[in-house]
Amino acid sequence: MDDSPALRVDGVTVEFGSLRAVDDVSLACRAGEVYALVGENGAGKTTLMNVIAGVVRSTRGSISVAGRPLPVGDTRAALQAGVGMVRQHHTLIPSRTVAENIVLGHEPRRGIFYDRRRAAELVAGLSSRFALPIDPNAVVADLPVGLKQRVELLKVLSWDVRIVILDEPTAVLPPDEASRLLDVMRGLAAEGRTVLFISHKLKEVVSVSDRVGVLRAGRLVAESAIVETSIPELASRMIGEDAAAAGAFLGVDEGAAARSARAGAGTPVLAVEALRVTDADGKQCVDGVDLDVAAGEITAIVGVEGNGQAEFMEAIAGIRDVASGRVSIGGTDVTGLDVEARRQGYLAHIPEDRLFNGACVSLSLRDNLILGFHREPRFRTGPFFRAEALRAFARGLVGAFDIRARYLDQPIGELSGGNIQRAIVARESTHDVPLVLVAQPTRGVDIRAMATIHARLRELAAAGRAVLLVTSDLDEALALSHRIAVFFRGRILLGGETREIGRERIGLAMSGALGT
Amino acid sequence: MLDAFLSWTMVETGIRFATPILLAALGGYLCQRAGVFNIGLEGTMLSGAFAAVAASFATHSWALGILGGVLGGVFAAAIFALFVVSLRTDEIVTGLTVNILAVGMTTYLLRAVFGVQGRFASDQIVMVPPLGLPLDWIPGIGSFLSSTSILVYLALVAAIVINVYMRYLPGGVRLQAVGEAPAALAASGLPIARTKWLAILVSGGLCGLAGTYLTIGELGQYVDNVTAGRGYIAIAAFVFGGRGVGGVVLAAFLFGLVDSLAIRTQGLGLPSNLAFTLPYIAAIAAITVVGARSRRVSRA
Repeated sequence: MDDSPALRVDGVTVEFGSLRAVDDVSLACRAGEVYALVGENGAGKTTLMNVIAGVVRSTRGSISVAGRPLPVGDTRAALQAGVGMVRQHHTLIPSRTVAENIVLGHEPRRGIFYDRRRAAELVAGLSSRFALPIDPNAVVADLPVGLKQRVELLKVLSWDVRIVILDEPTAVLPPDEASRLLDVMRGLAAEGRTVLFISHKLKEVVSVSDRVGVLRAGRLVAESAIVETSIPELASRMIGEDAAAAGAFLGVDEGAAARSARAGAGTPVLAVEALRVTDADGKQCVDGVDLDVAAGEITAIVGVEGNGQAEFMEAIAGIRDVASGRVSIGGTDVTGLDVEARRQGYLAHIPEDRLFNGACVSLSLRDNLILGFHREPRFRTGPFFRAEALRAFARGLVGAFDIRARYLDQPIGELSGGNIQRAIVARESTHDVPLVLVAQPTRGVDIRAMATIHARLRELAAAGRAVLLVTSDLDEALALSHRIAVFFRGRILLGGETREIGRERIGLAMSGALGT
Repeated sequence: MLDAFLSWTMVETGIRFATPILLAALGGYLCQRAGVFNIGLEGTMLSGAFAAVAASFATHSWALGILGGVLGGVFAAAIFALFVVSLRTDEIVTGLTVNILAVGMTTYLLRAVFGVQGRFASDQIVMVPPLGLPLDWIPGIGSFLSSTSILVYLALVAAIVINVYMRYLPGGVRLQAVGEAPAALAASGLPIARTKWLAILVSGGLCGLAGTYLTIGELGQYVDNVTAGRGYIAIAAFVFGGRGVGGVVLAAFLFGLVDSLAIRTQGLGLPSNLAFTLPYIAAIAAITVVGARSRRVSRA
C-alpha cells in the first residue's frame, strides 16, 4: 500500500462559457472516510462531484484515485476505476426490472445473450451483502421513491466502487429511511470505501460525516474535521457572513415561532369533505380526505412523495378533476369552479413545479410578477398596458422580497432556483385571498431564500390567511405549521396539533408503519 | 363471393403488400425505441428503391442490387441522423425534409443518369429470385411460399432477429434505455448518440430493403414515387404495433391485407380511387385509436 489518498482532487476548475462554476478546488479523501460537501445552491457542489464521476469535463485540474490519474469526462472509466455517483435525479429505466437496471452497462452474458438469471443472482447477492433488501425482479416503475434510490445505490455498488458519491441522497426520503441510509453510508466507510456526499441538511452532515468541506461561489472556502466545527459555523461559512447573521437563517429549527396562538377558532377558511381524486390510470390517489384549515393557521401535509399530496393540492387549486367530495373556501362551495374562478378571490397557489406551473420561463421577471394581476384596471389604459405602472409594481415586489436579477426584463428562467421561487412567492402572497396553497416551497433553494420564504409564510398566517403547505421536508413542516396531517396512500393516517405530535410518530405514519 | 374475399390469393397478396410496410415499420420501431420518431421512412425507402434499380441495372446482379438498395437507404438515414442526432435539429421537420429531398433527388437522377422521365424499365434490371423452398406440398399457400421473393423471407428474418435482439440481448435493454431514460445510459457511461446513430442507420438499411422489394422484388422497374405513401403506412404500423415486435408484424400484415382487400373490391365494382384510399383510411383509424389511448394516459 502506498500512502496516496483514496481520492485526490487537484486544482479543478470548471467553466461554462464565462461562468466559473468550480474555481480551483483541491481536496483529498482517505479510504474509510465520510466527507460531506455543503454550500448554497449554485455553489458548484454538484458540478464538482460530476467532474469526479467523469460526467462533466473540467477546464483545468486533475482527479486521481489511489494515486492513478482518471481520464477527464469519462463516466465509464471512472466507474471502472472505482468511482460511482448516485445522482440527485433518478437515472433508472422505469419499464425495466431492478436487476436489469442495476447491471446496465456490464450485463452478465451467456454467449451473446443476456443472462437474466445470473443478473438476478448478482443483484440478490449485492442486496444481502450491503443489507439493502430489494426484489431483483420488481419493475422499477412500481417502486416507491425510497426503493428507487436503493436501486440507484446498488447500481453504483455493483461496479465495486471504492469512492461512492451521493448527491443529496436524503432529500426525498422519509426520516426513518433517511437515517437508515446514513447507517449504510457509515457501513460503506467502515469497509474501507470513501463516501462523499452533498447535503443541505447540516444536522445529518454533523451526524454522519468525518470531515466537511464548504463550497461558496465555486471555491472551497473551508474544510475541517466534523468534531472541530458546528452547525452555525458551517452555515456562516456557506453564506459568507458572520455566525450571528447565519443564525437568523437557521430559524428553521423545531419548536419555533408563536404557534401557540392558534387563531382560527371560528369557521374554517378551507373545508374539504370526503374528497376523492382518481388519476389517469383510474387509481384512487386521494381516497376520502377531510381537512379544515382555519384563518391564521398553517397546516402542513407531509408524507413520502406519491401518496396523494400533490393530487390533493391540485384538486383544491382546481387543476385536477375531483371524483367526489366537496371543497369550500370561506363558506362557498368552489368544487365546480375552474382555476381562474378560484383564483379570483378564493386562493393563491405556489405550485410544486415552479418552472412548469409557477412561472413562464421565457417571460421576463416583470411579466411573471404581474401575471394574474394583468387584467386589473390600474395596469391598463384601454387595451394597452401602462408600462410605468407595471414596472413600479414589479420593482416593489423585487425590493420587498430581495429577488436578485440583473434587470427587471431579464427572462425569469435565467434566474437561480431560489430567486425564481422568491418571485413566485412574492406574486402569490400579494393576492388578496383567504387561502394560500404552498407546495414544496423550498425544495432545492438555499438557506437564504429558504429564510425569506419561511418568514413570508409566517407573515401570511399572522395576517389572517389560511395556509396549506405540502412538504416532504419534515423539519420545514415542524418549523412552520400549527397543525400537521400525514398522508399515506391517499388518506390522512395521522393528524393533529404540531406541538403534540411527536416526530417519531410522524415518521412512522409516513412509512405506513403506524397502526390506525 | 365470400370465397373471393377469403381466398388464399388474398392472404398471399396481403403478405406481398405487407413486406415493404413491415421492413420499414421495423426500422421505425427501432428508431422509436431509441427515442427518435423517424417520419423520414418514406423518403429513405424511396432512396433505397432507386439505388436498388440502379445497382441491379449496372451490375446485372440481384445480390448487388439488394446491397445497393440497402446502401441507398443507409445514405438517406445518415443524412437524417447527422441532422437529428449530431446537429440536434427537429426530428419531424428533418424527417419531412428527407422525404421531400428523396422525391427531388430520385426524379432528378432518373433524368440525369438514365435520361428518362416518370419510369425506368430495362431488361438489364435483374430481379430478386424466389427463395425456392420445397414447400409446394403445403395445401393452399404452398406454391406461394416456394415461389415468393427472397426479400419476403428476409423481412421475416429481420423481424425475428430484431425481436431476439430486443428481448434477449443486453443491447436491447440499452436501446430501450436510450429512448426511455437516456440518463440511465449516461450514468453507466454508455454512449447515447452513437446508439441513436446505429438505430437510425439500421432503420435506413431496412427501409432500403423495403424499397428494393418494391422495385427489383416486385415491379422489375423504377417508377417515380414508387413508394406511394407506404413509408407513412409503416409509421402507422409501428405506432399501432406498440411495444413489441410481434405487434409490429401483426399491424404490417393487417395493413397489407387491407391493401389487397382494396384491390379485391375493385373487382367488385367499387370505384378504384375510393378503393385505393382504404389502406390510408385504415392507417388513420389505427393512429386515432392509439392516439386516443395514449392521450388518456398522458393526461395525468
